[in-house]
Amino acid sequence: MSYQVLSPIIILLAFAFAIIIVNMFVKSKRRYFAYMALTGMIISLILVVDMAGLSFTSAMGLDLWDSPVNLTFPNLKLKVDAFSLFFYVVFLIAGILVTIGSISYIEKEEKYRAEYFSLMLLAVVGMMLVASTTDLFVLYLAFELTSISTYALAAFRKKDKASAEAGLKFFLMGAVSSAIALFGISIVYGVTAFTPGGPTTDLSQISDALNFALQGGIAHVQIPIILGSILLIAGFGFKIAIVPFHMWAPDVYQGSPTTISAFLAAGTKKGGFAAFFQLFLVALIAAKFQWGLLVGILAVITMVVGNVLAIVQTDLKRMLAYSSIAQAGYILIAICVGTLAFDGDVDTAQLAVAGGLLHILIHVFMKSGAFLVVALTATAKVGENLNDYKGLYRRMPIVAFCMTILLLSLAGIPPLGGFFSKFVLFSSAVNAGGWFVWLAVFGVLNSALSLYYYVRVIKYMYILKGEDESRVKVPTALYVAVILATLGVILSGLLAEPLISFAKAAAGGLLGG
Amino acid sequence: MEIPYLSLMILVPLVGTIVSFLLPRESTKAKWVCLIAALISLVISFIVTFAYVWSWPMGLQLDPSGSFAAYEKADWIPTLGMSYVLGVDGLSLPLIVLTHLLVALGIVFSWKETDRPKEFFGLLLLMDLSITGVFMSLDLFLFFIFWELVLIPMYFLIGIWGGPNKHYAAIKFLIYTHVGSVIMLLGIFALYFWAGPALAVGNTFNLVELANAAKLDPTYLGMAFQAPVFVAFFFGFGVKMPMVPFHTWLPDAHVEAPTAGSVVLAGLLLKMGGYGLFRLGLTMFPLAAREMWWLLATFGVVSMVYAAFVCLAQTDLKRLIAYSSISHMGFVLLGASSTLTIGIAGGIFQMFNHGLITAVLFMLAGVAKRSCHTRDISKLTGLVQKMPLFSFILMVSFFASLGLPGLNGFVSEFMVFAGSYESFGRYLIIPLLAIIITGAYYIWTMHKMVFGDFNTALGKIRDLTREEALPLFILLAFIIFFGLYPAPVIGLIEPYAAGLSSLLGGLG
Repeated sequence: MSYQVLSPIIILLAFAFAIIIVNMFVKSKRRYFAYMALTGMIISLILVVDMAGLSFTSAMGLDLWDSPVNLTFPNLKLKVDAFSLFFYVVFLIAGILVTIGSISYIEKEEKYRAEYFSLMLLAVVGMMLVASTTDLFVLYLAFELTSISTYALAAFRKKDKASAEAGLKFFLMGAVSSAIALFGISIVYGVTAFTPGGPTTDLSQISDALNFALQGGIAHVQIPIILGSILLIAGFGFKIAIVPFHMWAPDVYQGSPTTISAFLAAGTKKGGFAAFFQLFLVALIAAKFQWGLLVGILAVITMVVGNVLAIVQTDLKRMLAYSSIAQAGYILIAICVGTLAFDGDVDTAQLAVAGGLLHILIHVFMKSGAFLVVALTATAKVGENLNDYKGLYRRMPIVAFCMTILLLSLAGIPPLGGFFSKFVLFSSAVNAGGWFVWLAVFGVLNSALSLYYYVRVIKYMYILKGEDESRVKVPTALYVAVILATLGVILSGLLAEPLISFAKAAAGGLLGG
Repeated sequence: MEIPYLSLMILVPLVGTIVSFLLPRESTKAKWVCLIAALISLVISFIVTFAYVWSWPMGLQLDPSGSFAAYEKADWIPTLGMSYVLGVDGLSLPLIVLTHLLVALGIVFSWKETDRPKEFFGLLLLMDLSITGVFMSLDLFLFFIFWELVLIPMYFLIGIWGGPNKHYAAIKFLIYTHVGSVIMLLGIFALYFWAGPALAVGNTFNLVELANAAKLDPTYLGMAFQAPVFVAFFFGFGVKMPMVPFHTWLPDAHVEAPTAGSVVLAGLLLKMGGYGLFRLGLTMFPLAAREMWWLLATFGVVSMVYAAFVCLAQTDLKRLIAYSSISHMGFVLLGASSTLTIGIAGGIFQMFNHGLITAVLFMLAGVAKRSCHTRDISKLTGLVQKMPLFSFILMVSFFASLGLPGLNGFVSEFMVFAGSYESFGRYLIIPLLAIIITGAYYIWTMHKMVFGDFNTALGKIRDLTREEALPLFILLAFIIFFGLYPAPVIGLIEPYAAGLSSLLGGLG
């Protein structure tokens, strides 16, 4: 066994505990903790990219690992393959961007800074475990690790009423949804107990068991499977904020410290998607007739509600929260079309899942970038309301330009990254034919609708004249993070080829395994 | 030595745009940078055209099948069948020359722009880049990228430098045309996933491969596939063109846009719709285009007649020209519906001519606004007394637009009518009605503006300045030249039109 492929996770864990331990001895007012967290994540990212076969060792022909790595550890209930590596990249990029931004955003909070960065690392570890587990129950536990870390992070500014409220709301909603998900897991587990394989929590064995049950192996199995699916959709639907389980998201995103909003929208939400992919395209794929149409309907409702409600928002964080809900609707298309793998149409399913994964990755850049712009303007005392953005182009030209790129990418304007991923995603739905085409139709129409509110922000920045047009000093670390995110959006558009190949390999890993 | 002329036509404006954006705020050098970039592109487009027509050894990269004047190809995202393919032929060359010409002249016309000048000229050049890209791309994916890219600079041009109602006009323009584009995008997906495999070229966005295969098997997948996908494309192009009833964004956008923006919008942006119709709609769906000629014809005739009637009621000079644009773009649809060489060539030539004429008209409206501070036709009376040059150009361009023989508008409209006579017969009287109404509103407007009693409330007004006169006279020279001797352009277009016509006619 080559356990070194788990090193990205182990390194993060080590840094998370190191930060806490160092904090016991050093009461530093400097930024050591942020740099420690950043170091851990960058080392981890380099290793992950290398394992995916996209970096120096494979180019040098060292062959440290087969590229991409594909190893299973049955006793740890973990596997490391292209799918989990892809999500590692997603989570680590989200973590790195948010940590860089936090260097200037969290500066004034002297207390608990060590905890802030330590919890962030733990949340990333939890999500990485979600993406690489092979077991339903480990998946639940890993997700709870992330959730509990982020509850604390949302309430990080405990003296701030909005932040405390956000944390509490997030915690209550999260706890309820976890309970619902757990109930769903127990029902699925119960069904498997009556199959020849015996009770199991292994994801692919569950798939076989459900297949057996639904082929007539067990009488009257429809109702428990449908119930279990609905409970799982509801439980994890809360985590990724799909309509109608989305109510908490705008409030929490608005109240939390903005860097944490960025982390929730760009990072932990993607953890929820990793869980969704694992659950529905591996474990429950045999029951696709029981939940497929429901997820499709929810996808459409989520897009429409997210976009329509985003139009009426004037608070940028709320607007971005609703846009994030709408984006989740697009990604759900991948899950619907991905079910075709069960019918043997693996090519279409793989393309759809690759599109979903690509959108997840690029959404990390877009959404964390946009939230960090809001954090930046708030830190620079410009404000985080739409009206505060009037004439922003005179006050901080480069930030306004970056925001424009990020928003246009969110709207799916070519040649930016967001366009490529939506292109692959929607095209796979058209390719799937049947009722899936309607998903694509709603997807493109919603994209057109969303352009309205994204462009409105651009209008405020560039076209309307502000009262105050003096230059503003920009906090450096946030500035760097925003520029990195913008570069990510532009480069992922221009260098789409390696990304698409990687996403396709990841999709193949998910559907094949 | 082979020179990548087509890529240069994208690269030069791109460099120009970036340089002008990077200049310091309020710099006055931006206009020079942009003008030079546009002129270089214009020269390149002339080189390509002449090298094609007279077979000059200029080192054009030719395509293997020989149907394009110049052709450049590189791999881009092979995993998904996307490539970087540029090519020009008789359909696109006149439009590309027109693009660079109008942008260069638009820059000259706006020479005195003082509000955020570097962004203004930079965005105009970005329009040049993206529109040229649309006319040159032979990969559906690349085509769509440029198609959408056009929206961004135009949005800013209207939104920042526009008139009093600019916010509404800019967002309306953006949303309307974007909806059209995304519907078209679904059509592109359908071509990629279904048409490609059915035509045995596999999943590809390469338009040349798809079109060549469709030429061999024009009835592929039957009407059940071709009709809905054709309609999706037709909708996307129709909104851009625009055709009644999807035209309402256009008058708003035009009235609010700055003059150079209007010139680009009417002169070039609308042509993207017509170009797409020929390049994609008719070429990729021969069966549907042949069977559904009535769809094109109906929308064309309705646009022609309806918009002409609406023109009669306009009081704003710019709005009048905007509606007349809708009416004149109806000719393109009518020409396309004829499926005859002369009709198709007439439709393409009409796009070229309309670009020239409408640019003059919008510049004149801009001059009226600058000099007289109003575009209200009832206030702009008797201008010949104070603005003789303006009045002269106004008369010639009005005559050209209403189709006076000897000016270029007549030639293409004549060709369109000749082409559609076969299918319409005596019902051709309905579209001909548009000609009569067009004559009526132009002559009525001209009568007031040029020959009426001078409106003394206008006060001291000036005639054309140098930077206004130069582009106007250059365009006027083209209008008269191609009116008297249209052969060069028609000769360029004719082979393409003949190929398309034989493809469509071969089915009947």
